[in-house]
Amino acid sequence: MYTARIRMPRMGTSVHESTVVTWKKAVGDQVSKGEVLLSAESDKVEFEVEAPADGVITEILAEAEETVPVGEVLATMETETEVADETPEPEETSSDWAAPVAPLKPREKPVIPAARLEKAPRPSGEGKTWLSPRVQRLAAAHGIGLDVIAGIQGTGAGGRVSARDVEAFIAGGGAPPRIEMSWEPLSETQEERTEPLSRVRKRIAENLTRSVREIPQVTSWLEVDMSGVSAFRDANKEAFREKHRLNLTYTPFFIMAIVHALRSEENERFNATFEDDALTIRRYLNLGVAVDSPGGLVVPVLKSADAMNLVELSVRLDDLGARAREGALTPEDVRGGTLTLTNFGASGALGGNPIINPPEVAIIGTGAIALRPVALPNGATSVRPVMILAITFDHRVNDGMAAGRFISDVRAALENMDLSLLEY
Amino acid sequence: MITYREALSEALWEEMERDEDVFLLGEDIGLGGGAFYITKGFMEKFGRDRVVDVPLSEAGFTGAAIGAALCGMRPVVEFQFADFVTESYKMIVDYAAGNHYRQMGPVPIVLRLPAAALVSAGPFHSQNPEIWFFGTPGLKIVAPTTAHDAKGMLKGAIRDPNPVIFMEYKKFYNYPVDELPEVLRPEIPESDYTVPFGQAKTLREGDDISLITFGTTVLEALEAAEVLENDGVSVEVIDLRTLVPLDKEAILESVKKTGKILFLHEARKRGGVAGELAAIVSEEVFEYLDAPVRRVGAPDAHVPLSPPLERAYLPSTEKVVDELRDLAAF
Repeated sequence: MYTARIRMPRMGTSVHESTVVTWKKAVGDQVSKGEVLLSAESDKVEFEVEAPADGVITEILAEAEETVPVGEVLATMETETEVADETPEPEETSSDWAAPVAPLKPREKPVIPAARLEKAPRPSGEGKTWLSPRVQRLAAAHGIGLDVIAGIQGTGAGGRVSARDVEAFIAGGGAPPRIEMSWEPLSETQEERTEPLSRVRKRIAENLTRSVREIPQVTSWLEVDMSGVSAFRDANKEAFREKHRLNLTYTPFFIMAIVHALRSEENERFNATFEDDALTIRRYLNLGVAVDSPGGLVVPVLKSADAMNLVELSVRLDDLGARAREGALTPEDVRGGTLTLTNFGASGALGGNPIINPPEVAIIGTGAIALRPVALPNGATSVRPVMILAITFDHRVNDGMAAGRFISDVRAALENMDLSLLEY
Repeated sequence: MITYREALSEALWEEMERDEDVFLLGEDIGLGGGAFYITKGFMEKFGRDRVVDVPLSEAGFTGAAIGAALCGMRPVVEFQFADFVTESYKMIVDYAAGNHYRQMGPVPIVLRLPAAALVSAGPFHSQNPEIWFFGTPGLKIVAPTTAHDAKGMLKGAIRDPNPVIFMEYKKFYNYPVDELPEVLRPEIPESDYTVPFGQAKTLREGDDISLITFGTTVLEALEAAEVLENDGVSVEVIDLRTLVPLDKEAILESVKKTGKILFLHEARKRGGVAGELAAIVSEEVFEYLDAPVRRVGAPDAHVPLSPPLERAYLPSTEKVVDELRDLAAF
């Protein structure tokens, strides 16, 4: 035999209590499962409570007219089978909350893992270049032709060129602005202006005129594959700047290559001066470095460049360059050069023919480093950063073969330099 | 900090103290204190003449309120659920919205509509009513999402000479303040204040995608933006706060910045406010778009009663994240 508890059921949401109306059975009555024991009412509905199993009523705890809370025991029965005692779930409301709907529990924040964004297929126009309105607006605002835009590597859906791609292209110096032609005269009155030469320019004029008048000069060019040096510089420039507060430029690499070439006695006759029919060969390098200053070209001399490492070269070049541009060079800074290096590539020029700075007997020039298709020995082609290396030499004291060998040695050093040994 | 529900109560209380012309009508708002207890204790304080229990006739009591407003009173009408407002539709769109135009004087009436889904409240207690009114001139439509805005906007609505559809969100009524994202619980001033209409609020700044929303979905919007941040995508989240007047400039300026825009609302996508906003964007800033204008809203069905179906039906953070990722990858 088991004992079953008959409880006041919950009849609808926000019902907290109900009232017994009448008992249909009394203590001691034999009832069968499903028989009505009592009727009751809530403030919303009238209802009946049935026997949960066959058995005998043993006790009645709530009389007619009595109002009892939901879940309260109304009667007990002795039953032949076990009846689970189910208390109606309490409503999840605070006591002063009887709204028709339950209050909200704080939401559980969904856990969504970060994702790699997968590219959707190209939006429309299969096989065509689809440019969004924003991309076209950006192109127009920056004077970039749509053909140029279409050539950008797109990162959008299906390789689409997105606005972000165009912005990156522009930020990267991308496309030059369109240049508007004009048919206005340069000046309304055909104006003319006479400008006397400054002291600096006068000295440049005298020096170079003397050089060209007196020296039979010959220029040779060759191409240098700058892949190695370029890659090293790209990979190290951030760290170099962080450590030394200096830009890692190409110039120290040029100087290291020149110094390497001069270590060979075959090339020593280019690091020399020629005066009074006598060639003075120097077994040290005082390298003149041409610097574009506001007043004009100046050539401060990097003394003992042959004994400097990458960092020392960078520090000294930065110092000389800065002082040259500020006009703060001393006479000592520009004296005693044995060879000169000029980077005409800084102006964007690919090639040039530099003029010797007398009494020196040679000058080395470097052009702009530009990406070019290069034919490789195996017949393949590759796109490489390529630079023109020029040498102008005094034909009175050196011949073309020797100059070619010297400049080839500089090239070899630039192309094959063991960059892993460079420390900074 | 007080809850959204308490903020609404405070606004009503303070406005009734401030202005004797302000009075309330609604079902069970007096003796019962309102379905959501927003006017509990009001009848004891302000009396039966100013806290009026009305029969179950939305058209009737809305009409009565419009009449009172035309006579210079400031009625605030409480609907038990926003869904029931359709009973008053003609009263609102023809008489409340149209009277001033027809030179019969302004109608300073506030219609408080407890809106949107809560949990399994079924099709008659879960709807978003804005679209029923959005095309009607002469109505203001506001949708506060914070206790701060709820209080300041309800006060502003009561002082406004125009009829105001005041959507208030059951979901936020008792939302525990501590559980809300910080940006959704701004400090409430001690002193009297109103929140001006027509000023959207940027809940989160971003550069890559504009996510424009209003109402309950500010929560999903903020969560989704956080998820996208972990993807490396910066999402700007804007809460419009009022639909009429609309802060068009906030939308346009944001999409000018980002080039990609997603509109999000709990209401159905078909015929939803987002459609109108998308049209405005394509009309006015087409040349700034880097991707199609996208929308997230409920599907073309009634709000289900079944909790799992309701969850599937409502715009979820997952759905918003999916759309944002799609846009980011576009």
